[in-house]
Amino acid sequence: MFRLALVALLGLAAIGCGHRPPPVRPWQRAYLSKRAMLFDDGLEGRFRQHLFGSREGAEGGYGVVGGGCGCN
Amino acid sequence: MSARLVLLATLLAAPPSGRAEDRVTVRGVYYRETSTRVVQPMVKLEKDLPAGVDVGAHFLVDAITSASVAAGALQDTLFTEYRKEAGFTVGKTFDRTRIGAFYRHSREPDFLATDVGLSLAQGVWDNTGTVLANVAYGSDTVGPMLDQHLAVTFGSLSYLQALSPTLAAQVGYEALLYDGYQANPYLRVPNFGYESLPKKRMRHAAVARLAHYLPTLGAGVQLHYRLYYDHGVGEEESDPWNLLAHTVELRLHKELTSTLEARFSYRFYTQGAAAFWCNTSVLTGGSTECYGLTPHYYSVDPKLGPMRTHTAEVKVTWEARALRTVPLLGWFAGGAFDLSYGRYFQNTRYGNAHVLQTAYSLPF
Repeated sequence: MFRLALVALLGLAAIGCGHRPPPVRPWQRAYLSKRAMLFDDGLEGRFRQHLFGSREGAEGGYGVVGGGCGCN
Repeated sequence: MSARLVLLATLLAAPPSGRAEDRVTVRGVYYRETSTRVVQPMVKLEKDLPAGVDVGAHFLVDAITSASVAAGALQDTLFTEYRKEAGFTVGKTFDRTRIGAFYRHSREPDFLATDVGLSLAQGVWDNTGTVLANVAYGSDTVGPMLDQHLAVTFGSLSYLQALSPTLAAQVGYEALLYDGYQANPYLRVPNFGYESLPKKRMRHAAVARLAHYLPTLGAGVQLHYRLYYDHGVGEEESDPWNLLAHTVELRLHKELTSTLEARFSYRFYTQGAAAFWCNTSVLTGGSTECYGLTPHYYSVDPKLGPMRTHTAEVKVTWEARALRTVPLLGWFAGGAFDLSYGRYFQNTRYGNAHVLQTAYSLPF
Protein backbone atom coordinates (compact mmCIF):
# COMPACT_ATOMS: atom_id res chain seq x y z
CA MET A 1 0.00 0.00 0.00
CA PHE A 2 2.87 2.36 0.79
CA ARG A 3 4.37 1.75 -2.66
CA LEU A 4 1.02 2.37 -4.29
CA ALA A 5 0.67 5.68 -2.46
CA LEU A 6 4.22 6.61 -3.43
CA VAL A 7 3.53 6.00 -7.11
CA ALA A 8 0.24 7.89 -6.94
CA LEU A 9 1.73 10.92 -5.24
CA LEU A 10 4.75 11.05 -7.50
CA GLY A 11 2.39 10.76 -10.45
CA LEU A 12 0.42 13.73 -9.20
CA ALA A 13 3.62 15.66 -8.70
CA ALA A 14 4.80 14.74 -12.18
CA ILE A 15 1.58 16.08 -13.64
CA GLY A 16 2.13 19.28 -11.75
CA CYS A 17 5.75 19.49 -12.84
CA GLY A 18 4.84 19.35 -16.52
CA HIS A 19 5.05 22.21 -18.94
CA ARG A 20 1.65 23.59 -18.12
CA PRO A 21 1.69 27.03 -16.52
CA PRO A 22 1.30 26.94 -12.74
CA PRO A 23 -2.20 27.61 -11.38
CA VAL A 24 -0.94 30.43 -9.17
CA ARG A 25 1.59 33.12 -9.96
CA PRO A 26 3.85 34.48 -7.22
CA TRP A 27 1.91 37.74 -7.03
CA GLN A 28 -1.37 35.83 -6.57
CA ARG A 29 -0.45 34.18 -3.28
CA ALA A 30 -1.82 36.74 -0.85
CA TYR A 31 -4.97 34.78 -0.04
CA LEU A 32 -3.05 31.53 0.22
CA SER A 33 -1.10 32.92 3.16
CA LYS A 34 -4.27 33.60 5.17
CA ARG A 35 -4.80 31.54 8.32
CA ALA A 36 -7.89 30.07 6.75
CA MET A 37 -5.71 28.48 4.06
CA LEU A 38 -3.06 26.91 6.25
CA PHE A 39 -3.31 23.28 7.22
CA ASP A 40 -0.64 23.64 9.88
CA ASP A 41 -1.89 23.77 13.47
CA GLY A 42 1.52 24.06 15.12
CA LEU A 43 1.55 23.36 18.84
CA GLU A 44 -2.23 23.38 18.91
CA GLY A 45 -2.35 20.54 16.43
CA ARG A 46 0.30 18.70 18.36
CA PHE A 47 -1.88 18.73 21.46
CA ARG A 48 -4.98 17.75 19.53
CA GLN A 49 -3.32 14.72 18.00
CA HIS A 50 -1.93 13.67 21.36
CA LEU A 51 -5.39 13.98 22.88
CA PHE A 52 -7.18 12.10 20.13
CA GLY A 53 -4.46 9.45 20.04
CA SER A 54 -4.94 8.74 23.73
CA ARG A 55 -8.73 8.43 23.48
CA GLU A 56 -9.35 6.98 20.02
CA GLY A 57 -8.16 3.86 18.26
CA ALA A 58 -6.86 5.57 15.13
CA GLU A 59 -3.59 7.42 14.87
CA GLY A 60 -1.56 9.16 12.21
CA GLY A 61 -2.32 11.21 9.15
CA TYR A 62 -1.10 14.55 10.48
CA GLY A 63 2.63 14.18 10.87
CA VAL A 64 5.06 12.21 12.96
CA VAL A 65 3.33 10.76 16.01
CA GLY A 66 4.71 9.55 19.30
CA GLY A 67 6.04 11.52 22.21
CA GLY A 68 4.90 9.42 25.11
CA CYS A 69 1.57 8.34 26.41
CA GLY A 70 0.30 10.71 29.11
CA CYS A 71 -2.88 8.68 29.07
CA ASN A 72 -2.68 6.25 31.95
CA MET B 1 7.66 16.82 13.55
CA SER B 2 8.14 20.52 14.00
CA ALA B 3 10.15 20.68 10.80
CA ARG B 4 7.23 19.23 8.93
CA LEU B 5 4.76 21.62 10.45
CA VAL B 6 6.96 24.58 9.74
CA LEU B 7 7.21 23.47 6.15
CA LEU B 8 3.51 23.05 5.76
CA ALA B 9 2.92 26.47 7.25
CA THR B 10 5.19 28.24 4.84
CA LEU B 11 4.48 26.11 1.85
CA LEU B 12 1.79 28.15 0.20
CA ALA B 13 2.95 31.57 1.20
CA ALA B 14 6.53 31.31 0.09
CA PRO B 15 9.02 29.03 -1.56
CA PRO B 16 10.32 26.31 0.77
CA SER B 17 13.44 28.34 1.38
CA GLY B 18 13.32 28.50 5.13
CA ARG B 19 10.72 29.99 7.41
CA ALA B 20 9.21 33.39 7.00
CA GLU B 21 10.37 34.68 10.38
CA ASP B 22 11.90 33.84 13.73
CA ARG B 23 9.24 33.20 16.30
CA VAL B 24 8.64 32.29 19.92
CA THR B 25 5.33 30.76 21.01
CA VAL B 26 4.01 30.03 24.47
CA ARG B 27 0.86 27.96 24.90
CA GLY B 28 -1.23 26.67 27.76
CA VAL B 29 -3.83 23.91 27.68
CA TYR B 30 -6.44 22.88 30.20
CA TYR B 31 -8.24 19.59 29.55
CA ARG B 32 -10.93 18.27 31.85
CA GLU B 33 -13.03 15.13 31.60
CA THR B 34 -14.87 13.10 34.21
CA SER B 35 -11.84 11.44 35.81
CA THR B 36 -8.86 13.19 34.27
CA ARG B 37 -7.47 16.71 34.23
CA VAL B 38 -4.48 17.79 32.17
CA VAL B 39 -2.67 21.13 32.45
CA GLN B 40 -0.01 21.64 29.82
CA PRO B 41 2.29 24.65 29.47
CA MET B 42 4.63 24.65 26.49
CA VAL B 43 7.08 26.91 24.71
CA LYS B 44 8.51 26.74 21.21
CA LEU B 45 11.31 28.72 19.60
CA GLU B 46 12.09 28.88 15.87
CA LYS B 47 15.13 30.63 14.45
CA ASP B 48 16.62 31.08 11.00
CA LEU B 49 20.39 30.95 10.76
CA PRO B 50 22.72 31.93 7.91
CA ALA B 51 23.27 29.71 4.88
CA GLY B 52 19.68 28.45 4.74
CA VAL B 53 19.81 26.68 8.07
CA ASP B 54 16.89 26.83 10.47
CA VAL B 55 16.58 25.44 13.97
CA GLY B 56 13.75 24.97 16.45
CA ALA B 57 13.21 23.73 19.96
CA HIS B 58 10.23 23.08 22.18
CA PHE B 59 9.58 22.09 25.75
CA LEU B 60 6.34 21.10 27.44
CA VAL B 61 5.03 19.65 30.66
CA ASP B 62 1.84 17.63 31.05
CA ALA B 63 0.48 17.68 34.59
CA ILE B 64 -1.99 14.81 34.52
CA THR B 65 -4.32 14.41 37.49
CA SER B 66 -6.45 11.34 37.24
CA ALA B 67 -8.74 9.13 39.25
CA SER B 68 -7.16 5.73 38.86
CA VAL B 69 -10.47 4.12 37.90
CA ALA B 70 -9.99 5.79 34.54
CA ALA B 71 -6.75 3.90 34.26
CA GLY B 72 -8.41 0.63 35.06
CA ALA B 73 -7.57 0.17 38.71
CA LEU B 74 -10.12 -1.21 41.11
CA GLN B 75 -10.14 1.65 43.57
CA ASP B 76 -10.75 5.28 42.79
CA THR B 77 -7.77 7.20 44.17
CA LEU B 78 -6.49 10.51 42.87
CA PHE B 79 -2.94 10.80 41.61
CA THR B 80 -0.90 13.27 39.59
CA GLU B 81 1.97 12.51 37.29
CA TYR B 82 4.08 14.71 35.06
CA ARG B 83 5.15 14.18 31.50
CA LYS B 84 8.03 16.32 30.28
CA GLU B 85 8.93 16.57 26.64
CA ALA B 86 11.71 18.35 24.79
CA GLY B 87 12.39 18.38 21.08
CA PHE B 88 14.83 19.88 18.61
CA THR B 89 14.70 20.41 14.87
CA VAL B 90 17.26 21.45 12.30
CA GLY B 91 16.80 22.03 8.60
CA LYS B 92 18.76 23.14 5.57
CA THR B 93 17.25 24.63 2.44
CA PHE B 94 18.76 24.35 -1.04
CA ASP B 95 16.74 26.33 -3.54
CA ARG B 96 13.41 24.45 -3.66
CA THR B 97 14.54 21.53 -1.56
CA ARG B 98 14.64 21.31 2.19
CA ILE B 99 15.96 18.52 4.32
CA GLY B 100 15.26 18.39 8.01
CA ALA B 101 15.82 16.28 11.08
CA PHE B 102 14.25 16.13 14.51
CA TYR B 103 14.87 14.60 17.90
CA ARG B 104 12.30 14.36 20.68
CA HIS B 105 12.31 12.84 24.11
CA SER B 106 9.34 12.43 26.45
CA ARG B 107 9.57 11.23 30.01
CA GLU B 108 6.94 10.28 32.57
CA PRO B 109 7.12 7.82 35.45
CA ASP B 110 5.79 4.89 33.43
CA PHE B 111 6.51 5.87 29.84
CA LEU B 112 9.75 6.97 28.20
CA ALA B 113 9.69 7.83 24.51
CA THR B 114 12.48 8.82 22.16
CA ASP B 115 11.80 9.71 18.53
CA VAL B 116 14.13 10.68 15.71
CA GLY B 117 13.24 11.45 12.12
CA LEU B 118 14.17 12.93 8.76
CA SER B 119 12.10 14.95 6.32
CA LEU B 120 12.52 15.93 2.70
CA ALA B 121 10.43 18.61 0.99
CA GLN B 122 10.60 19.43 -2.69
CA GLY B 123 8.85 22.41 -4.26
CA VAL B 124 7.30 21.60 -7.65
CA TRP B 125 5.44 23.32 -10.45
CA ASP B 126 6.96 26.76 -9.88
CA ASN B 127 6.70 26.21 -6.16
CA THR B 128 2.91 26.05 -6.18
CA GLY B 129 3.12 22.50 -4.85
CA THR B 130 5.28 20.54 -2.49
CA VAL B 131 6.03 16.86 -2.18
CA LEU B 132 6.94 15.98 1.38
CA ALA B 133 8.38 12.72 2.71
CA ASN B 134 9.07 11.80 6.32
CA VAL B 135 10.62 8.83 8.02
CA ALA B 136 10.93 8.41 11.77
CA TYR B 137 11.71 5.86 14.40
CA GLY B 138 10.49 5.80 17.96
CA SER B 139 11.62 3.72 20.90
CA ASP B 140 9.33 3.56 23.93
CA THR B 141 9.88 2.03 27.35
CA VAL B 142 6.62 1.32 29.14
CA GLY B 143 5.20 0.14 32.44
CA PRO B 144 5.42 0.83 36.17
CA MET B 145 8.72 -1.08 36.22
CA LEU B 146 9.74 0.31 32.81
CA ASP B 147 10.34 -3.24 31.66
CA GLN B 148 8.34 -3.30 28.42
CA HIS B 149 9.38 -1.95 25.03
CA LEU B 150 7.68 -0.68 21.93
CA ALA B 151 9.31 0.29 18.65
CA VAL B 152 7.47 2.52 16.17
CA THR B 153 8.61 2.88 12.57
CA PHE B 154 6.97 5.68 10.63
CA GLY B 155 6.88 6.71 6.98
CA SER B 156 4.76 9.34 5.23
CA LEU B 157 4.33 10.94 1.88
CA SER B 158 2.15 13.93 1.07
CA TYR B 159 1.51 16.34 -1.74
CA LEU B 160 0.26 19.86 -1.20
CA GLN B 161 -0.88 21.95 -4.17
CA ALA B 162 -2.27 25.44 -4.64
CA LEU B 163 -4.99 24.90 -7.22
CA SER B 164 -5.95 28.55 -7.63
CA PRO B 165 -5.27 31.83 -5.76
CA THR B 166 -8.04 30.84 -3.32
CA LEU B 167 -7.96 27.05 -3.34
CA ALA B 168 -5.45 24.58 -1.93
CA ALA B 169 -5.51 20.81 -1.48
CA GLN B 170 -3.39 18.22 0.21
CA VAL B 171 -3.34 14.44 0.04
CA GLY B 172 -1.14 12.25 2.15
CA TYR B 173 -0.49 8.76 3.33
CA GLU B 174 1.20 7.54 6.49
CA ALA B 175 2.22 4.08 7.63
CA LEU B 176 3.22 3.14 11.15
CA LEU B 177 4.52 -0.20 12.30
CA TYR B 178 4.12 -0.84 16.02
CA ASP B 179 6.27 -3.66 17.30
CA GLY B 180 6.28 -4.51 20.99
CA TYR B 181 4.21 -3.89 24.07
CA GLN B 182 0.99 -2.08 23.22
CA ALA B 183 -1.21 -2.81 26.22
CA ASN B 184 -2.17 -0.46 29.00
CA PRO B 185 -0.20 -1.81 31.98
CA TYR B 186 -2.99 -0.87 34.40
CA LEU B 187 -6.04 -2.33 32.69
CA ARG B 188 -7.35 -5.67 33.94
CA VAL B 189 -9.74 -7.95 32.10
CA PRO B 190 -12.30 -9.92 34.15
CA ASN B 191 -11.18 -13.54 34.61
CA PHE B 192 -7.79 -12.97 32.93
CA GLY B 193 -5.97 -10.16 34.71
CA TYR B 194 -3.75 -7.65 32.93
CA GLU B 195 -4.66 -7.27 29.30
CA SER B 196 -2.82 -8.98 26.47
CA LEU B 197 -2.49 -7.39 23.03
CA PRO B 198 -0.82 -8.51 19.81
CA LYS B 199 2.79 -7.40 19.55
CA LYS B 200 2.66 -6.16 15.98
CA ARG B 201 0.28 -3.67 14.43
CA MET B 202 0.53 -2.09 10.99
CA ARG B 203 -1.36 1.19 10.89
CA HIS B 204 -2.33 3.14 7.76
CA ALA B 205 -3.77 6.62 7.50
CA ALA B 206 -4.76 8.41 4.31
CA VAL B 207 -5.67 12.08 4.52
CA ALA B 208 -7.26 14.58 2.14
CA ARG B 209 -7.64 18.26 2.98
CA LEU B 210 -9.14 21.14 1.06
CA ALA B 211 -9.05 24.86 1.84
CA HIS B 212 -11.00 27.59 0.06
CA TYR B 213 -10.88 31.33 0.73
CA LEU B 214 -13.74 33.68 -0.04
CA PRO B 215 -12.27 37.18 -0.43
CA THR B 216 -15.59 39.01 -0.62
CA LEU B 217 -16.62 37.55 2.74
CA GLY B 218 -13.23 37.66 4.40
CA ALA B 219 -13.83 34.04 5.26
CA GLY B 220 -12.43 30.62 4.55
CA VAL B 221 -13.54 27.03 4.81
CA GLN B 222 -11.54 23.85 5.27
CA LEU B 223 -12.64 20.26 4.92
CA HIS B 224 -10.50 17.37 6.20
CA TYR B 225 -10.99 13.65 5.86
CA ARG B 226 -8.92 10.79 7.23
CA LEU B 227 -9.31 7.09 6.52
CA TYR B 228 -7.58 4.82 9.02
CA TYR B 229 -7.06 1.09 8.87
CA ASP B 230 -4.81 -1.31 10.73
CA HIS B 231 -3.93 -4.98 10.59
CA GLY B 232 -1.67 -7.50 12.25
CA VAL B 233 1.68 -8.67 10.96
CA GLY B 234 2.74 -12.30 10.88
CA GLU B 235 -0.35 -13.59 12.63
CA GLU B 236 -0.87 -17.30 11.98
CA GLU B 237 -4.59 -17.19 12.64
CA SER B 238 -7.13 -14.49 11.82
CA ASP B 239 -6.14 -10.85 11.92
CA PRO B 240 -6.57 -9.61 15.51
CA TRP B 241 -6.70 -5.91 14.57
CA ASN B 242 -8.68 -4.95 11.46
CA LEU B 243 -9.82 -1.64 12.97
CA LEU B 244 -11.36 0.83 10.54
CA ALA B 245 -11.97 4.50 11.35
CA HIS B 246 -13.18 7.65 9.61
CA THR B 247 -12.54 11.23 10.64
CA VAL B 248 -14.22 14.28 9.11
CA GLU B 249 -13.55 17.86 10.14
CA LEU B 250 -15.03 21.14 8.96
CA ARG B 251 -13.48 24.50 9.80
CA LEU B 252 -14.91 27.93 9.15
CA HIS B 253 -12.69 30.99 9.46
CA LYS B 254 -14.07 34.51 9.58
CA GLU B 255 -12.11 37.75 9.77
CA LEU B 256 -14.16 39.92 12.11
CA THR B 257 -11.90 42.98 11.94
CA SER B 258 -8.45 43.66 10.53
CA THR B 259 -6.91 42.24 13.71
CA LEU B 260 -9.53 39.79 14.97
CA GLU B 261 -10.36 36.41 13.49
CA ALA B 262 -12.67 33.62 14.61
CA ARG B 263 -12.57 29.94 13.74
CA PHE B 264 -15.38 27.48 14.25
CA SER B 265 -14.66 23.81 13.84
CA TYR B 266 -16.50 20.53 14.11
CA ARG B 267 -14.87 17.10 14.02
CA PHE B 268 -16.59 13.75 13.82
CA TYR B 269 -14.79 10.49 14.46
CA THR B 270 -16.12 6.96 14.22
CA GLN B 271 -14.44 3.57 14.43
CA GLY B 272 -15.27 -0.09 14.51
CA ALA B 273 -13.74 -2.51 16.97
CA ALA B 274 -10.46 -4.37 16.78
CA ALA B 275 -11.25 -7.92 15.68
CA PHE B 276 -10.06 -9.52 18.92
CA TRP B 277 -11.88 -7.05 21.19
CA CYS B 278 -15.16 -7.78 22.92
CA ASN B 279 -17.26 -5.80 25.33
CA THR B 280 -16.82 -7.03 28.91
CA SER B 281 -18.87 -4.23 30.42
CA VAL B 282 -22.24 -5.44 31.63
CA LEU B 283 -23.34 -1.83 31.98
CA THR B 284 -23.16 -1.34 28.22
CA GLY B 285 -24.65 -4.67 27.21
CA GLY B 286 -21.45 -6.71 27.24
CA SER B 287 -20.52 -9.86 29.08
CA THR B 288 -17.56 -10.70 31.28
CA GLU B 289 -17.51 -14.11 29.58
CA CYS B 290 -17.22 -12.79 26.05
CA TYR B 291 -13.57 -13.70 25.61
CA GLY B 292 -14.27 -17.40 26.16
CA LEU B 293 -11.89 -19.71 27.97
CA THR B 294 -8.50 -19.41 26.27
CA PRO B 295 -8.21 -16.21 24.27
CA HIS B 296 -4.88 -15.18 22.81
CA TYR B 297 -5.64 -11.52 23.26
CA TYR B 298 -7.96 -9.65 25.59
CA SER B 299 -8.48 -6.01 26.53
CA VAL B 300 -11.01 -3.71 28.16
CA ASP B 301 -9.53 -0.60 26.56
CA PRO B 302 -12.51 1.37 25.21
CA LYS B 303 -10.50 2.82 22.35
CA LEU B 304 -10.23 -0.63 20.82
CA GLY B 305 -14.00 -1.02 20.74
CA PRO B 306 -16.60 0.70 18.55
CA MET B 307 -16.87 4.35 19.40
CA ARG B 308 -17.81 7.79 18.16
CA THR B 309 -16.64 11.21 19.20
CA HIS B 310 -17.72 14.73 18.32
CA THR B 311 -15.57 17.80 18.85
CA ALA B 312 -16.89 21.34 18.56
CA GLU B 313 -14.56 24.27 19.07
CA VAL B 314 -14.44 28.01 18.74
CA LYS B 315 -11.16 29.89 18.54
CA VAL B 316 -10.36 33.60 18.45
CA THR B 317 -7.06 35.06 17.25
CA TRP B 318 -6.19 38.67 17.96
CA GLU B 319 -3.26 40.51 16.41
CA ALA B 320 -2.18 42.71 19.30
CA ARG B 321 -1.20 45.81 17.31
CA ALA B 322 -3.60 47.92 19.37
CA LEU B 323 -1.29 47.49 22.36
CA ARG B 324 1.46 49.45 20.65
CA THR B 325 0.71 52.65 22.52
CA VAL B 326 -0.13 51.04 25.86
CA PRO B 327 2.62 51.41 28.47
CA LEU B 328 4.35 48.12 29.31
CA LEU B 329 1.90 46.08 27.22
CA GLY B 330 3.44 47.58 24.10
CA TRP B 331 5.97 44.77 24.22
CA PHE B 332 3.23 42.41 23.11
CA ALA B 333 2.09 44.51 20.13
CA GLY B 334 4.10 42.56 17.58
CA GLY B 335 2.49 39.24 18.36
CA ALA B 336 -0.87 37.49 18.35
CA PHE B 337 -3.02 35.98 21.09
CA ASP B 338 -5.09 32.81 20.67
CA LEU B 339 -7.95 31.67 22.85
CA SER B 340 -10.03 28.59 22.15
CA TYR B 341 -12.64 26.50 23.88
CA GLY B 342 -13.71 23.08 22.72
CA ARG B 343 -16.11 20.41 23.86
CA TYR B 344 -15.11 16.82 23.23
CA PHE B 345 -18.02 14.38 23.32
CA GLN B 346 -17.11 10.71 23.82
CA ASN B 347 -19.44 7.76 24.05
CA THR B 348 -16.92 5.79 26.10
CA ARG B 349 -16.51 5.56 29.85
CA TYR B 350 -14.15 8.55 29.80
CA GLY B 351 -17.11 10.88 29.38
CA ASN B 352 -17.22 14.30 27.77
CA ALA B 353 -14.40 16.80 28.11
CA HIS B 354 -13.73 20.53 28.15
CA VAL B 355 -10.64 21.77 26.28
CA LEU B 356 -9.37 25.29 26.87
CA GLN B 357 -6.27 26.60 25.09
CA THR B 358 -4.53 29.94 25.07
CA ALA B 359 -1.36 31.05 23.34
CA TYR B 360 0.81 34.01 22.49
CA SER B 361 3.10 34.01 19.49
CA LEU B 362 5.72 36.68 18.84
CA PRO B 363 7.91 37.07 15.76
CA PHE B 364 11.32 38.58 16.43
